[in-house]
Amino acid sequence: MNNNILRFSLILFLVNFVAASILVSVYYITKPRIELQQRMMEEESLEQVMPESVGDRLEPVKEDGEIKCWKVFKGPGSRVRGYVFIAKKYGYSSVVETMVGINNDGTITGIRILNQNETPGLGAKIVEVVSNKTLLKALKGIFSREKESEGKLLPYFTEQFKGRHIRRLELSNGNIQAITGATISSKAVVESIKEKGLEILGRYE
Amino acid sequence: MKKLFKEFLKGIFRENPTFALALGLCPTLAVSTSIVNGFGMGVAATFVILGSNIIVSAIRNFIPSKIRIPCFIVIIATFVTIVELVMKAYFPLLSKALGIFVPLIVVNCIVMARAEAFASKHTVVKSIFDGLGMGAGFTLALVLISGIREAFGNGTLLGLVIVRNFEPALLFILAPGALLVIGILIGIVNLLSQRR
Repeated sequence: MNNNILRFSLILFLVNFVAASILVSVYYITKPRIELQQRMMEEESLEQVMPESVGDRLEPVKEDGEIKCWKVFKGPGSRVRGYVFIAKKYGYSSVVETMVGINNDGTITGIRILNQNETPGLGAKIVEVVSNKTLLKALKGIFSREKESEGKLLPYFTEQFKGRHIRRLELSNGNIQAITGATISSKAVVESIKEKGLEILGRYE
Repeated sequence: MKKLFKEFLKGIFRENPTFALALGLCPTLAVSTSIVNGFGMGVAATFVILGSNIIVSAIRNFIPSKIRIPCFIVIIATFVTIVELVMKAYFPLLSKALGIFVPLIVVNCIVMARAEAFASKHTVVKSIFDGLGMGAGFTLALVLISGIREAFGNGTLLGLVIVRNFEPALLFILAPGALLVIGILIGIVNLLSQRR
């Protein structure tokens, strides 16, 4: 009996030990690549939330060693043109992380959802991109030689934020239209942007 | 060879994980909202079933039966985590599209069921075919369910609009719609297999 318990524990320990060592090595092998991918995505997002920012200087504002937001300068030695920050808030099933660009008067230049794990088909629609092709057109497109280019499509939900003032942001008709069946996720995006945006505007204006 | 092929085929129809065994319905409900999601989940799950089947059948003679369950759980969880990390590092777009589905596979009872019911009692080669068949059956079922749900609930197929000016029935995208669709499909499958 006692002998068995010892044997079982030993086998379990062995299995776990092998599994853990494999995981540790995979984690360390993939870690730099994962970080690189994340950084590349962040840089791409930066361009999307602050269009025409090519050549602008970005300066991270640090607080307690963490990046709070980025100041965007137009050209060398000039005034602050705007801010880029990351807003976070818990939605329905995950923390929704949004990168936001604002001008220094508080109008939004663009937003992009960086991370979310909301319900597929409902909350996840905050990042949905709608193709204006219909099924019939797409089928025809396979057989015809000309390819219709649709250009770069952006999610319709986040596009609504462009050009709006941060103070007047709210979920309502004629302002930001919530996604049907996903009010909580939509609300999380709007509120997180409003809170963090007002905080940043208030501090640096 | 014919026998191996049979192991593969049984997963698709006679022992289809969703329609016949009714396993893994929880992730099926959550994921079958669009064809892309359903297919992605199916492929990821197939990969994990295959991997865990291979390892479980390879070490089946070393593991005492009394502690087999914790061992299987560790193997499956390790596999899922490796898949997730590798996908994040080398296929960031795929990992973004699949999002939460990959970690969800850990709780998918098909993987556990195949390890327990099949791989722990059969050879590695047989287990490979069983894993592939179960994965294919699961993927097929998911694509079928999500196709119906996407068409009625969102008015699209593969993200493309079917008919303009169609007001989709949101019910189909929500969980009750999934239960309806799965129930009706199980009924049809049962009817078909009774006729034979």
